Amino acid sequence: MSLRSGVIPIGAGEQERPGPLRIIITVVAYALPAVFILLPLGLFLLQSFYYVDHGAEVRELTIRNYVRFFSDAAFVPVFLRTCVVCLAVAGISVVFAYPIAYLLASLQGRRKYVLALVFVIPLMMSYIIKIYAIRAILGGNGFLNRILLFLGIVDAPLNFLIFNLQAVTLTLAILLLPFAILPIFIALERVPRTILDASADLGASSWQTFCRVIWPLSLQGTIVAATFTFVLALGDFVTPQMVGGTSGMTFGRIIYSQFGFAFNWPFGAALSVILLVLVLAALLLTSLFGRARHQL
Amino acid sequence: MACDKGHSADLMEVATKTIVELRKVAKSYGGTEILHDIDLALRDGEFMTVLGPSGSGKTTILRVIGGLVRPTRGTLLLDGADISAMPINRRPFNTVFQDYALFPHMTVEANVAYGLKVRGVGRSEIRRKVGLTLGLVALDGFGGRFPAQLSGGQQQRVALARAIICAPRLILLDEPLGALDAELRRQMQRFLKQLQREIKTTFLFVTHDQEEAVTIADRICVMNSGRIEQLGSPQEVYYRPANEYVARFFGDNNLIDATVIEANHIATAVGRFRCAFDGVAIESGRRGKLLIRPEAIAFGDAGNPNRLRVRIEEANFAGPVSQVRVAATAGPEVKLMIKLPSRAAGLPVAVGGEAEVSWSERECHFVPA
Repeated sequence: MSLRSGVIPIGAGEQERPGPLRIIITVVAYALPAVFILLPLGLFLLQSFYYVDHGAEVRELTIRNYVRFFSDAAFVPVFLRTCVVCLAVAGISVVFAYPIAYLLASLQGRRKYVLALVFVIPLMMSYIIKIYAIRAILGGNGFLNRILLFLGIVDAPLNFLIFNLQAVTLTLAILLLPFAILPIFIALERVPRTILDASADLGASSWQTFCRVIWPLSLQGTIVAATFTFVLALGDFVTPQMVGGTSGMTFGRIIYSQFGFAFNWPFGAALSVILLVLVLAALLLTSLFGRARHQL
Repeated sequence: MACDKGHSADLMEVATKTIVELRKVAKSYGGTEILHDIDLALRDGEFMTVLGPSGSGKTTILRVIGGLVRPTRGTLLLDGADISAMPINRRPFNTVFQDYALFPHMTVEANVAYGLKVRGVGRSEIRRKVGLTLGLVALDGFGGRFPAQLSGGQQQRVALARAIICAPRLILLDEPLGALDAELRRQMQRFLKQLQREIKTTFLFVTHDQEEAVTIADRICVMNSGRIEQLGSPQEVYYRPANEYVARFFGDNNLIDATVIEANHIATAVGRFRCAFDGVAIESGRRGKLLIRPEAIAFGDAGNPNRLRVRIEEANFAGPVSQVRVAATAGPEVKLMIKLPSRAAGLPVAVGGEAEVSWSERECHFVPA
């Protein structure tokens, strides 16, 4: 094996000179993300160091926005609470996604892909429709309350089901479930069938095979799933707006209000930068973990 | 452990005791039967190869024994007890898989220790046995590496170590040398044979390579489209094939249409020959094939009873041996291939010339059609 791989010099002398089309493609490939992603982010970063005075933006560099975030008692608690909510969202999504992905991966042939499609379809549906559907279930006059009333479990509709942080957590977990299922499903699909046979052949029970082989090999996909859902939940402000009520304040909503109501774009930008740093930290952590595992 | 039982005491007894037996085992997939009523008994301590082309059902036999495939019909016995329904993880057999199937996230040590760990063996005992087993497969010092850091041959030996560490009654090897290059393959064949003698465990080795099967095995089970064509020692299978299929499957062979005249005498289109029947009674008039191995034919009479006048049609020098194609002068449709040791002086007769060739009674064999 080692003899065969790696000895063939890849296109050593025969590499072509890049043609004009190739140059254009390369420029476009780098220019598009630069113009549409890096440039706006850079401008945003710059704007976060401006400030607003009497409704007018002052283009002088200052760190007062960041100082305000850390010193004002209103922001840090919401920020921390949002982190907790998003961790919970990631946790719940993964706990539900894992068995679903496992079931999908263990199915054979066409049924597998039909069922996988069923779980992916919600990704293509409008976000707003899904939230309204969940409101229709959890609301005061909603499906869940009616069933509880009908069964005589409660006498009056429960009003703690919606318009609070728990409702935000639950709704986000449901909405982001497909994002958690996919990476886990892919990780499970990659586990070769023969090493499961080998595990059983060596005397392991199904549970031992799961704990010692399947779980470690799908752990990375599971962490990716958790990161996905965590990051997506962090940036979300529509869901908390619609099912959060007044007590369901999240960091995303605060950022939104800076742009939508307070018209303090520099402060909104600073808050966004703080969120971005958190997101990047989460992604970095995941990739570090991935690298450690890949040293195999 | 196999070595605890003192097998060396009586090798004869070891060689004849049946350990695993398949009785009328059949397997169908979606209406197609790929194993037809297989009867096969493995002797304790033997090295058996199951040989056949792809699709002959050889791997299915191995998977039925290992427990990865449930037979449609028939029973599987271990020491005379029915284990057909025994789940795979309870069977005292271990498999070396074709693609090794090593656990990619575990070190060599953890891979080898796996079977003991899932059985709840103590840590110090595991460490001791892993050390011993890695030594057996010449992988001392590799314990901390991951499978991806090993060459194909090394991965192969890890798979082997992982299979033998639990001291199974039977080791199943599914074309384990298929991915190795020719030289490494020969090395591994010798190594496997040596290892098998050392640990005195029964090996069932599946391969499609006849040379490999002949080299490595105590007994060969030749399979074709879901049936056993012949079961016997390498010499039996090579020199006394049970039928035309086996005769053609092993190396080059000369097959001539023949009819039995009486015991040890047969007639062909180019004359009558003497042929050892090995005490087997075959009735006169029975039609079939006369088999002569190309290397068993000599130029000149060499005191042999069977002689034939031939014309040399073609000669190929192939290093240590030369291959000569000849046609009988009495009937040019009867052609023979002869292999003889090459000489610097060249062939005794030039291409186009005539010569007498001969072979002994023992070197030919008759298979009824």
